[in-house]
Amino acid sequence: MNLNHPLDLQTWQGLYVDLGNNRSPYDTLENLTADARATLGAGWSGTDAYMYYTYPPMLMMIHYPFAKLYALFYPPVPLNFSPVGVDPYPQVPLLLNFLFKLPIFLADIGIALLLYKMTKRSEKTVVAFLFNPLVILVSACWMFDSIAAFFLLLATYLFERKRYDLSAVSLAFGFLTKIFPIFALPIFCTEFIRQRSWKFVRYAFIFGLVSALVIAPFWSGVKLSFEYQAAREPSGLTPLNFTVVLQEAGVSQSTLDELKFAILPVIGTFLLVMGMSAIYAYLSKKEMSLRRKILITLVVYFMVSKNVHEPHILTLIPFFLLELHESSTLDKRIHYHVIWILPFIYAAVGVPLIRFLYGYIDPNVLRLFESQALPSGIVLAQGIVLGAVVIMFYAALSSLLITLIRGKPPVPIEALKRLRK
Amino acid sequence: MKTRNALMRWLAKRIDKIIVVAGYCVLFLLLLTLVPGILYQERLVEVGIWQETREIKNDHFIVRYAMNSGDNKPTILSPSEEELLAVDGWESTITVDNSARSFWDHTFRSYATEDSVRHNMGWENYQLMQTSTLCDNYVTIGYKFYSHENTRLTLNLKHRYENYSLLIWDNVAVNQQGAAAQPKYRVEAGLSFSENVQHVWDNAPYWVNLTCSLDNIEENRWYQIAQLTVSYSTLPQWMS
Repeated sequence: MNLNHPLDLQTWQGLYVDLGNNRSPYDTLENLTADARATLGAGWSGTDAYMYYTYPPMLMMIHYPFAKLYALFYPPVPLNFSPVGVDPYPQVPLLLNFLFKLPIFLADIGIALLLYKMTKRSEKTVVAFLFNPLVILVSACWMFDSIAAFFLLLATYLFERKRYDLSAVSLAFGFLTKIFPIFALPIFCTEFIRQRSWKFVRYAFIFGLVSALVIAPFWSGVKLSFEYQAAREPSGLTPLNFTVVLQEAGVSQSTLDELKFAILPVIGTFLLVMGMSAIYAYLSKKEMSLRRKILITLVVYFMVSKNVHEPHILTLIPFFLLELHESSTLDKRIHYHVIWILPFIYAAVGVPLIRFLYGYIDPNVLRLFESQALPSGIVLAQGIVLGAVVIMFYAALSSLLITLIRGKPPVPIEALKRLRK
Repeated sequence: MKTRNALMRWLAKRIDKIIVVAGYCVLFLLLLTLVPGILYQERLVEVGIWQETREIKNDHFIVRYAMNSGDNKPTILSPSEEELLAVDGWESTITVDNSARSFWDHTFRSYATEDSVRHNMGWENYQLMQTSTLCDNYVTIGYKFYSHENTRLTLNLKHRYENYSLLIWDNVAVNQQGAAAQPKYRVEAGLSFSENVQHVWDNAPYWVNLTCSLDNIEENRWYQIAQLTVSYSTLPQWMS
């Protein structure tokens, strides 16, 4: 329970203190951002916001009752955020860990139940999801991607059951938790158009209305969060994250800053628009299951996004398992394992894994594992491994995309049953 | 109905092309955001209402910040909601004891939002940030300090208010409680003026001297030094 990513735990702790004080975390974000922008010389001062609560509002709405409950046991304390560029090591009570992770665990169980239903009671698929090491690492120690993945999967399930309004609401909830489910909206809409139905207008309207109603009260904070996400430097499992190599090669800091905070975010945005438009256009007329279309969309999204962090890959896993259930081939099974193993290795080497244990280990010991404290030889080796993982991951995504596009459309289960009869 | 169906058939037939064209339109709009004067918005926040001056002395330097409150000016209303006073701005001065350091080694960064301004000065291993926030009828001024390593520093922070004579010091809260929790961190503060309202009307300058020493800093974090709240008095009876 007391396993966490130190930087993200600072955000969860701040979120609980803010909500316990009936204060919007967006106000704190704006304050911290102004501080960061006035700070001299620190590593993050080039970004558009302090890395605090830079998500849409759903997460804080889910946690509001939990935070009020937490405040009954632990009255809110003054927050002390680490300066920009410095790793924090907050110590939090076990109760905060439990309450924060409870909705994440429930979302994981929800995904498992949906997989059970969507695969006509395949226990193998459920077990494969719940015991996937990347899912365990992300949900137990790190991030809340499960919640967004749950809403996206629920939207898909409801759409398949022709409960379109609820599907639109669920997709909006996904977008209001983390931004990426919005990239599935065109897929849902073009499904209607492909079937020559005007229902896409109603679907898009409900999605927009729910999103607008939730975002409106927090507009300035949400806007700042989106600006931050748009302008942040490329990072994680993306080829755009190559400035580390240039840094090692001795390129000046000012040139690196220009690249990281000005040029690459622009290139990343252009890539995203071009890549997503191309895949939407390609899929708009294709006869294939909705699940596979969403899987392909997610694969392309991770190929063209400038920020692909290890927890994001969790969303691929349930859709990939559905694909394997529908049409499992050796090729796809290999891809499945490569797709989750590589982000796991990236986290294990990059964070590194031992820092998730910081609830049990003295922070002074863990500081020895920060990149600035490690000997240069180890940092170089770490960089080479991470670089190799990024290249392999990108190659795996490209190869998977080709496999999914070339693969024969899966035979609908109902049609298969009829054939058997 | 026929038109609707025809439109849908047209849409379904050309949806891929429509998406591609829409993609190009978004790219075009994105391109426009890079061209100054079209959709491009300067990310810098307006700081024109703030003025900064610096003075160099032999053993210390002074940075003076003045603010024109503009549209955000706090106002004091009478019980009948009649405007008694609108505060046009305030001036704040930071004096740093500089006997062992060169002024020219200091770097400065200021950042202003709608109702607050941050002034930060840094010298090798320390940064001192002053944050002033304008509220409805008071101003809070906070100081915090950051050091990368063990630093001993003595600061003389002075605030001077002479033109805006209706300002009074309502509260000076220094982080003494924090000091008790962190014995290596010592702060002393004192007010060099008496809280005599009549004195305020004389337009005499008022100073708050804040002296702090920080020893054995081990953590990489900002230390809150002091939080000052300046509020505005209502008009005395003899003026009303």
